[in-house]
Amino acid sequence: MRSSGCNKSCAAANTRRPQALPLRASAASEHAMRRALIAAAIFGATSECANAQPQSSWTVSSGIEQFSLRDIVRSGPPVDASPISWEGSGPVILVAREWTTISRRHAADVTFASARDFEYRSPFASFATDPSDAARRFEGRYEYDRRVLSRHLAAWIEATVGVRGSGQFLSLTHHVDPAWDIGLSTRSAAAAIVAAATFARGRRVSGDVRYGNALVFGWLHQNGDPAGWSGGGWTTDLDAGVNVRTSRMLSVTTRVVKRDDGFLATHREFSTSTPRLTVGIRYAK
Amino acid sequence: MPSRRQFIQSVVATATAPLTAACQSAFGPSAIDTAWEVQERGRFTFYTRRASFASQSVDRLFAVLDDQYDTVEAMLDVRYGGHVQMFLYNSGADSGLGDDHSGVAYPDTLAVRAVCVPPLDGNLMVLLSHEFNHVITLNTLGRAGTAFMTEGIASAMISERFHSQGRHFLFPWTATHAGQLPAIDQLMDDAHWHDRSEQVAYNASASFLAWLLDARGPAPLKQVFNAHSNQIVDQMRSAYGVPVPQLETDWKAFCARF
Repeated sequence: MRSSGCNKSCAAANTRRPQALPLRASAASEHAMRRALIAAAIFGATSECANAQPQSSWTVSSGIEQFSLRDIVRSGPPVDASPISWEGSGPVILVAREWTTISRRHAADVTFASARDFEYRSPFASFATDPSDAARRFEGRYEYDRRVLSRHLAAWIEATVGVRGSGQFLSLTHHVDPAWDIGLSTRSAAAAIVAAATFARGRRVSGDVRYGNALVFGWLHQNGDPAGWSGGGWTTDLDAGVNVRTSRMLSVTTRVVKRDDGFLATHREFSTSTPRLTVGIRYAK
Repeated sequence: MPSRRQFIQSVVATATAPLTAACQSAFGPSAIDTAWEVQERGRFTFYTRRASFASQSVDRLFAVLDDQYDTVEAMLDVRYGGHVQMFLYNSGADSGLGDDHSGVAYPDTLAVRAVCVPPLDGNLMVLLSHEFNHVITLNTLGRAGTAFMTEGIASAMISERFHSQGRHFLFPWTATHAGQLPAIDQLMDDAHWHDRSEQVAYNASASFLAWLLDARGPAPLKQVFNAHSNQIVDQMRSAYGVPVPQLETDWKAFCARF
């Protein structure tokens, strides 16, 4: 009955498993069918399937991203990281493209973030760093998800699992008084497993929560050192967003991302945290 | 009844869910401890446990580290302005570092964590100076390319103003252990750094580099400091004008006088 109350896209979804509905319909009494249709009509008027009809969309967002680094001296658990963090923040710009069908989702995005105004932050105080300190991050990602557990979940929630590939360039400009440059750059690629849940209660508002965990492989260059080091690490991110539709094709989207990375190379190991808040426009057709 | 395919999807999703949480929870950085008493002294901030031996010894420790700061600048002919944060723990268990004579340095964030237990003698001063030296050397010379340089330079520049466990320990130690020391060009290879005991590797590298600094000055050392294991022997020959085995022979001959 849940499925019969859904909009066109859910009906399309049900055509993929036609054996269920006729059986239920034939078993139901006429009275029960009538009650069910009334209930479905009420549900349909107030809710929408989480997996909207096949569509593609563009999203352009911007916001603020914080960049925080702590160096690591022992990478095995329990990880021994500095009690001091090197922190800054700055603008982030994200352009995303998404294609969804009933059971699949493809998404690609590119992100550019530039953090400045760095300081060393201790448990009790902050210390200014060189004004030229900066962190720049450029990342491209592609993600492929498949819907799972569709028969066990309410129509307004959709669960997916997927895989994600990404590449990132990270450049740190980090000076120590009077003029020592201890910055570095990394070029890395990552492969992630992603689990997500998408919610849509009503036609105007939808939301999603995505959780990804990636293994990272890359190359690290210390500024001023022509030779580099290969290394590896991880990325763990939790990403939550809300879309509010403002017209048939346009939505305003707000996302909060909590992301932690680790990169371990010979003689240099560190973890970074890059939480961000973005607001953007989503155009779907 | 869910289909077989959906059942498999559900199992895969359930199985992968805990794995997705694994990396950050297992390999993410430790939480930052906030139970500290803070004392500022010149170019250092000391974080100590309340009413601890370390908190009562800050003035003396500051004198040792401030002298160490000047000593490294003079020995390496560098100028440094970093403000260093020293986190001093009551025991190995308190620090999570293992034993009561342990410490670690974080050059990127100008910080040191070390165990600070009585007595306030040369051993404790050497430990704190060694860890502080990591911060100042790696920030002024760049990141060392070998464990030999990273660890050796930190002990090679120990000031002896408040004790005699720098060169007065390293050179006689070299003389008494000359027959057991690995070849220097082997020690310079990260692949062989752990072949011998940690004490032998640390003391031999420190003694060799202390002698090099005294005999040849800091300029050639700066040229080879960042060299990786596969380059350092050639770069040493180029910077010092003689091969590493010749330098090693001269170093051992010098130490034999002690």
